Amino acid sequence: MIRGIRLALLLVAVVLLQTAVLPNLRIAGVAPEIGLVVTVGVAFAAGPTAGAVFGFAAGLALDLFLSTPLGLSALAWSMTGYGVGVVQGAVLRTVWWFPIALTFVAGCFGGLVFCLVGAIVGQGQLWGFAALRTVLLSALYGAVLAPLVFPIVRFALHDDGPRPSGLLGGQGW
Amino acid sequence: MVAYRRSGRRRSVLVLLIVTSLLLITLDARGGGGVVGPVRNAARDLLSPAQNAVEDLTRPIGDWWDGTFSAGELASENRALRREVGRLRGEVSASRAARRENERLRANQGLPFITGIASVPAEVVAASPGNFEDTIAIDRGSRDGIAIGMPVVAGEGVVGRVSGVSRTRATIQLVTDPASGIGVRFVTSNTFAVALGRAGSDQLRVDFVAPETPVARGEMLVTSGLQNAAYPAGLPVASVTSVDRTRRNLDQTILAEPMVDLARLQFVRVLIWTGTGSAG
Repeated sequence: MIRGIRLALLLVAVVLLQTAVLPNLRIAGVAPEIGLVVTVGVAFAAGPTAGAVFGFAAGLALDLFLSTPLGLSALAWSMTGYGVGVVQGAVLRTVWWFPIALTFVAGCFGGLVFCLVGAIVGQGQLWGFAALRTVLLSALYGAVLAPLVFPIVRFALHDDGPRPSGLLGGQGW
Repeated sequence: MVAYRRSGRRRSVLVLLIVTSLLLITLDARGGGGVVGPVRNAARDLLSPAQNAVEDLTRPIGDWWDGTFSAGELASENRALRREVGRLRGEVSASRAARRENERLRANQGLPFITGIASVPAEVVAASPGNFEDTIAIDRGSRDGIAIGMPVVAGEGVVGRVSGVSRTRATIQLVTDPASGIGVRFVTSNTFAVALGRAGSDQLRVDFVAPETPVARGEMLVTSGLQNAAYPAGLPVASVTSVDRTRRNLDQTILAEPMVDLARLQFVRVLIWTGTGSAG
């Protein structure tokens, strides 16, 4: 219950950060997708189902503030969350940089799904080299933020049950 | 067996989420604004007080960040000089800043090119939350008479048009948005064209110009005001920055810089003008 409240607060914080703070912290015109980074953190710590559900909720919440079709971020981020959870579950031992690298790869994957599906449903601006550049930069930016974001995610997911192990905790859900 | 069941349940959840997302995308993309629009507006109204508070709190961080990281993006010498001035005047007192703000606001009150059209002054409160769109949010909404499609201008010319509106806020699609297209006219040759936003660029591409049309750097583009135009005629839009003739003069690539410095917008005016159609 308390964990659910913490996750809901994390969701609100993600939307506020993405809509009110990060647009002013762009590098080369690109802001990080903090919701996607948090989704990766949730999937990494709690598994594919939790990652997919959080990614869907965070993406849908952010979609309400974008001019792209509602559901586009939700689709991309839920798929990304699921994929990260599956990959994390299949890895037996990780090195310290693995979550950062995984965040970068997940950022690229989520961004490409967003652009590809968006272009298919008529968002022509999501197709081309400029969009690809944006996806890569945003993924890189997100990967840099991952070490700051993941401990917060771990705190939000923490409950009074058995404590997960590892940098981000093991797969629980 | 247990692991197999768990894996199957996980996949079912994913499939459910994907199907829900695709349904929403289809509904919205196929013009389901009647359903999706009110939900979007309600969310924006609900969160706007918190957004305003967070923006006010973090504005100094954004200003510092802008001064530190945007240097590489500023192409024109004019902007570089402004940044230099900004750094040199880092210790400007609060009263001096307030006076400048007041001057900008007053300059915005008497725009010479919008005489005869009612307008609503507004302050820019947020930049685009997404990486694939070029929009801003203003602190006026439908309760102030603003509606989707209305043109938005600032001291020097056209800023964009209203693309979304809730009760307390409105979203403005800037002329540089990749999905933006605006009907323009070259002032010198009186030729009509379309100025399009370009992804990842703060310049406009001017299309549909006949190859024999003489175009010079610095030439001004104003809104065409043709039938079904989304903007009144004669509003300054951009000035030509480069003309590149290619393919043995069969085509020319024209780039233009918006008249308004869209990266540093603070005050705008929304024209209470709905035009005659939805074309640029």
